[in-house]
Amino acid sequence: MKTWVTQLRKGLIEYCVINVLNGSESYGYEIVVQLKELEVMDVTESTVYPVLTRLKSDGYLKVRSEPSKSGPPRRYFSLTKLGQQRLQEMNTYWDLLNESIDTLRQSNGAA
Amino acid sequence: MELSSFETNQIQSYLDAVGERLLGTEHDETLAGIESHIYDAVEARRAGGEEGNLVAAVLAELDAPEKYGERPAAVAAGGPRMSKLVIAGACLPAAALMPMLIGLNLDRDYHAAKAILVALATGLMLLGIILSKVALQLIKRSDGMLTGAGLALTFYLLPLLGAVSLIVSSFFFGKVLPDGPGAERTAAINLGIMGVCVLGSIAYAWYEVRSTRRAIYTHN
Repeated sequence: MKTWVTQLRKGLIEYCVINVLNGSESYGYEIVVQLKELEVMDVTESTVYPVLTRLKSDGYLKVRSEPSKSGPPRRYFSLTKLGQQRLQEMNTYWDLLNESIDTLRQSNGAA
Repeated sequence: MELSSFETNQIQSYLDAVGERLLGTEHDETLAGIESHIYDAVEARRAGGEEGNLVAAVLAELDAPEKYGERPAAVAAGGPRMSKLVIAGACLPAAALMPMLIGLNLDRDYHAAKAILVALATGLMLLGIILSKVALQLIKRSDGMLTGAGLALTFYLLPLLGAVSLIVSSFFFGKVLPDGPGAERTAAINLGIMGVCVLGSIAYAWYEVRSTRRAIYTHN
C-alpha cells in the first residue's frame, strides 16, 4: 500500500505544480507552501524543485527573476503556451481517469 | 535581510551537500531554487515574529540532502578522475612521431619500409584523433565525473587543423596560381576552396570548444 501511494504521489507532483501555476505566476517557496496544504500529497522541497527544473527545461515553464529583499533574486515561474496545452491535456486525462475508475468501482459495487 | 556569516555558512553547507547529489543541467537551476526558498522561509519566520537562529530552524525543516538522490560514484570516491581515453589519445600522436621521422629520413632504396613506417605513423595519429574525440564526448556526458576536456580538445583539434593547414599550404604553393589559359578562373576557384576549408575548420573548432565549455560549465 505504501509503495503504491508513493508512486501515485510521485506521478501527480508534476500535475499539481502545473495546476498551481494555472493563470498566475509564483515563486518556489510559495509553490511549496501551497502544495504542502494538500496534506494527502505529502509534498516537500526535494520533490518540487527538481520537478520545476525539469518542467522548465522541457519548455512547459518560463522563469522571470526579480530582486528580493530576503536574499538572492526570486525566480517567478509561469506556464508557457506549451505548459498551458499540457495542463489542458492533463486535466482532460484526469477527468477521464476519474470517471473511468468511478464507473469501475460502481459496477463492482464499491462502498 | 542581514544574515551572520555563521548563518550563510550553514546555508552554503546545506547547498553543497544537496549540490553533490544533483547532476548535469538540473544542478544550478535546482540549487538556485532551494537557496531562494531558504531565504524566503527565513523571512517568513521573521515576519511571523520568530527570533534566534532562524536559518538553523529552516534547515532543520528541509529535506535531508540524501532525499535528492545518491551521491555520484565519482564524488563519493573523492572527486572526478581523468579520462583514460584522453591519455591514450594524447600518447598515440607522440608515439607516431618516431616511425614518422625514421620513415621520412630513410633512403629511397628502402621504399617499402618507408611506406610502412609512414602508414603506421599516420594510422597512430588518426587513432589518436578518434580516441580524443570519443573521450571528449564521454567527458561532456559524464556530468563532471571525467576530466581532461582541454587535453582532449587539443589532441582532437590540433591534428585536424594541422592537416587542413598542410593541405592548404601544399595547395597554395602548387596549384593556386597556375599558368596558362584559364589561369585566373582556376586560381579564383582554388582560392575559394581554400577559403571554405579554412573557414570551415575554424568554425568547427570554435563549435567544439564552445559546446565543450557549455557542457562543462553547465555541470559546474
